[in-house]
Formats: sequence, structure tokens, C-alpha cells
Amino acid sequence: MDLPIPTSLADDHLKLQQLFITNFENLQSNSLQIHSILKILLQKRNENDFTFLSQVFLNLKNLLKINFIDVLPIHLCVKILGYLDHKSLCRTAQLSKKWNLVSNDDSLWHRMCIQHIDKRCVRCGWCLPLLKRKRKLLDTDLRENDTESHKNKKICQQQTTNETKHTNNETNQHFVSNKKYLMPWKKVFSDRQRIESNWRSRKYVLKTLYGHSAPITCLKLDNDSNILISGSEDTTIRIWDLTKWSLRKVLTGHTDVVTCLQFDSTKLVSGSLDSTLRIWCLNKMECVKIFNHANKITCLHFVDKVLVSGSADFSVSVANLLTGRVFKLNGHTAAVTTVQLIESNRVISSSNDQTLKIWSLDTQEQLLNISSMNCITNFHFDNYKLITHSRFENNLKFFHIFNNKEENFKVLKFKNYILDFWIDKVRLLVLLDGFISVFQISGGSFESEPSSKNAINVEYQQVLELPDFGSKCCLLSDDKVVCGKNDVLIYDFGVNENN
Amino acid sequence: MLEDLGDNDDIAIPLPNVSAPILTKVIDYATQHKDDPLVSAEEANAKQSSDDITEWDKEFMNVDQGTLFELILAANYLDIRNLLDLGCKTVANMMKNKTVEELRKTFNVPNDFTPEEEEQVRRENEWCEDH
Repeated sequence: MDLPIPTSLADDHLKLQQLFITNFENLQSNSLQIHSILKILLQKRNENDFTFLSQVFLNLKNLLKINFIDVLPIHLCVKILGYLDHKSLCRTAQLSKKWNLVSNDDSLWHRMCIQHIDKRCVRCGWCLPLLKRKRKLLDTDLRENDTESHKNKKICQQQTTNETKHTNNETNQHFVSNKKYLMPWKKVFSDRQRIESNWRSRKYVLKTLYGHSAPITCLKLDNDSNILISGSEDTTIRIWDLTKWSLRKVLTGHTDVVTCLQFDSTKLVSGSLDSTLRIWCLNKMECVKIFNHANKITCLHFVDKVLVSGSADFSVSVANLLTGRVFKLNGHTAAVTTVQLIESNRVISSSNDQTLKIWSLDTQEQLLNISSMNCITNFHFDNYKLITHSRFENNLKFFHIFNNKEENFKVLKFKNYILDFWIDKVRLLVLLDGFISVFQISGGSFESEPSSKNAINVEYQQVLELPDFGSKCCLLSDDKVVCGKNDVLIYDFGVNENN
Repeated sequence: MLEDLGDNDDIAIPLPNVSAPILTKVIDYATQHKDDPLVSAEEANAKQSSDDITEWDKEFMNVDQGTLFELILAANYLDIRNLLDLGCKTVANMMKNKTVEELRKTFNVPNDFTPEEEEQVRRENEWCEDH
């Protein structure tokens, strides 16, 4: 109905009232119409109109709907949107063009990233993987993204499609040609959110890498370069490229089973039952140094230039790769099974003599000796928390180590043989005889003070079970579960870039 | 504002941006909260949760949208951070757990996307609906 109201209708009071009530939704778009109807109705009021008027009043309150993006200044709209979760924020981005612009505001998503990435959000409890991956510049849309450096800088400027001038920003050190784009924080968030969502909905793609002719004994993965390195009983070490899903190189040289390996951006160190430790240069893909030991090497760990290895001759060897100085830590009475360096001045070693020892690298003395540990096969130490597993027991034991004292606070029991396990900030992966179990970690805090109860108040909830027969070792990364038999099996929870 | 006036308490401060009924509401709020402990801006920002509204505050904010947004504008103009936070949290709570259509109806947002643009925007944002 258009203005003006036909005079015939203006006189019919009752009809106007009915028209008003039944057509609220249509009328609201034309406030002048409402105004004129109301004016007529209010002028010619009689006693029977009170019910109508109260109805009008109630309905008017609901009628008043304000698209506040036009009413409030932008900084207040952004403030309001800052209280929303990411789902609501994505929905508001679909309302209108102006809503889209404000909802995609970079500072909003920057805050979301800071709250969720690599830490557990206090509101929703989700923790998103850090994914320190450098992406190559493809077209002009993507550019290299180093989340670590972005987190430390204050503001990232967003490239809008209308801008022709490219603003230079101190964070942007990676660019190709003369186009400098910065990835919006929303994309940073959404990439990681999708991965975490894949984990939770158990959506993965299984890929197999063939090559080894005997079971794989050790696996290591680097997220930055997407390189996976595996060592096997067939005495070879294979380097796999996970972006192309292909074999990059086979390293031969060891004459017996490769038992352990570790690599960083420049070098790979491997230990074998042939009693040697080999250092390989990853640029030239060849062996550059061989350490000959007295007996079989069972485990190794290096941090920067300090290399620790354990041997079947009961000793722990510490070598400084810079100075060449080597010394031995003696004390175990059976083969050493796992070693780990902590804070560059202490070493933890576990052995078949049923003890776990913590040594000081400076004094070469034992700081702590935990006995009756029942032949620990493998352990993991991180931030005061020690997790051990023994091949004779079907459980994982959790210890709290502080001030060279230990306290057992948790035992996770399993029905099957545990073959291997891996833990990161968000998940615990346990390789059992017959299947792989993935646990979600909740509660506790990542950076806990050693004496706080928070450190040990952690819950492990099984979220995923994958069938597996024959794997001997496993690996967990932000978006992958890797296990090795003769072939490398990769359960990829990541997001395909072409999606 | 107060700094500009100096020490004279008797001068009336004109508030051209705040209407009388809204100012009454603001005074009600300030009276209720006059003994609240001071919270620094960083602490308030760090929390970023909209679930911590007290019963009195919830009842206070149970008004029509017109009053609600006018209160937010008044709190912004008068620099009353607690009231501003409360107003923004209230609006945020009105937006949570609503579909796009429900949001459109709640705030009467006209859809100015073409069907192609709308589909594109929907696809750009569908990652959040996965769980």
C-alpha cells in the first residue's frame, strides 16, 4: 500500500487498526506510512482503542530493529564484534557489504589468532596448531607467512583490492617481484581452524610412501620444510618430500640397522647397530663425519652443537660438535635405551637396568637416579613432565620432575602392548599392537610452574583410533600421524591447498 | 571534559549528544556501580568474554534496540568504559548462535549482495560451519 492512505480507509477506524496489526512486517519499511496511520488512529481515539494501543506499543518495541553498522562508529562495531566467536564472525560477514568489511577487519582476526594459536583459548577451549610453515609465493594472492614473526609484531596492514600503492611494513621481509602482500589474519586463523576441525571430525587422507625393504625403526618430521626422514632395518635412511609426496634421496653407508636419527635445517645425525654415528650434510646429501664407537648405538639426541648418544655398552656419550670434545657418562649397568638433552646442561638417560638417571653435563655427575622403572623403552621429557613407557608393561607413566625430585602422578593403562608414543601440546599419540590411539589433552597449562598443581591436572581423552598392524614407530605433528612398517603410512589431517 | 572546566564545580556541562531519558539511564547505572573497583583497560581487554553480565546489568540492558544503541553512544561520548563494555557485550550476546538469516532479521540488515557475490561470500566463510 502506497502513500497517501485513501481517505475512504482513513475514516474506517477499525479497518485501519486491523491493517496495522496484520501488516507490521510490510509496514516497517515505510515509516512515514506508519506515522500517518498512527496519527489518524491516535487523533480519533475512543475507549475501545486501548487494547489496540497497548498491542501497538508492544509490537513497536519489536519493530525497532536497527542495523547498527550504520548507526555506531566503526571502532564501536569492531569492539562489539570482538566479543564474538569465529563462527558468528563469519556469519556476520555474510550480511551485507559493509558488514563484510567490518567483520573481516584484520585487528579482529589478529586477536582471534593470538587467543587460539599455540595456546588453549580461555573461552572455547580450542587450541590451534602453530604450523610454522613458510609458504612459497604462488600467485599474487598468497605470500610467505611466518606466524612467529607476525605474532610478535603489533599491526599487520591488510592489502585491500582497491589500493594501488603498496605499503611497506617492517614485518614483510619476504616478497617476490615488486608486489608486497600480507596474508590477512583471517586466513591464518581459518587454515589452522580447518586443520583442528579435521582432527575433531576425524577427517584424514591416508597416504603411503614405499621404498624401504625392511621395517622402519625411527621417524622424524620437520614441519617447516615438510621433510620426513626414516631410518630402517635395511640399513638405509630415506629422505621424503611431503609436499610432492615422493622420495628425495636414499642415504646409504650404515652397515647395520639404523636405530635412531634426528635432523635440523642443515644436518642429519644417525646412529646404528654398526657402532657408528654418522653426520650427514642435508645440502649436499652426503655423509660428512663418522664417529666410531665401541658398541652399538641405540639412541641419540642433539640440541645445536651438543650430541648425546646411548650405547649397548652401558655408556652415554656426549660430544660437542664444535670443539670435538667427547666424554662418557658411566653408571648404567645395562644397555641405554633412550637419551634426551634438557636445557643444554643436563641429560636424562633410561636403561634396561631399570633406572632412569639425570646427569649434569658440567660436572658429569648423576643428579638423580630413579630406580625400579622396569626397563624403560622410551621416554619423553618436556617442561617438568616426564612420560615413560616400558616394553614389559602396558601403561604410560607420568612423572613430575622438579628440583631433581620425581613424583609419579598418573598412569594410563592400555589393554595392548605399547610400541611407541609421541606427545605434543595438544595431542598424545600411542602406537599399540593393533591400532593407533590419539588422545586429546585438556586441562592443565602449557607453561606451568613446576610446583603448581595445574601442571599435573591434565586429562587425556581418546578421540581417535586407527587400525594398524606391524608398525614399530610413530610420529605426531600438527596435522599428521605418521607410522612406519616397511612403508611409511601418513594420516594427513591437513588442508589441501587446492581445496 | 572535566579537565577543560577547571575547579569550578558549579558550571553545568552541556551534553549535546545525550538526550534526557538516556542520561537518566546512565545516571542509574553509575549509581548502581558507584562502588565498583577500578579495573585497568588491559585487564578488561584481556578477558573478552561476554558471559559475565550480572543479573542487575542484564535487566538494565533489557531495553529496545533504540535505547540500547543510544546508551552505547552515550557511554562512548561520556567515556564510561564499564557501561560501554556492558552495552557491547549485550549486543554481542544478541548476535551469538544465530544463522545469517536470523541475524538479518534481528538487525534488519538489507542484503546488498548480488546473488553471485552472496554465493562467493558464503563460500569464503563456509569453513567455520564445519563442526
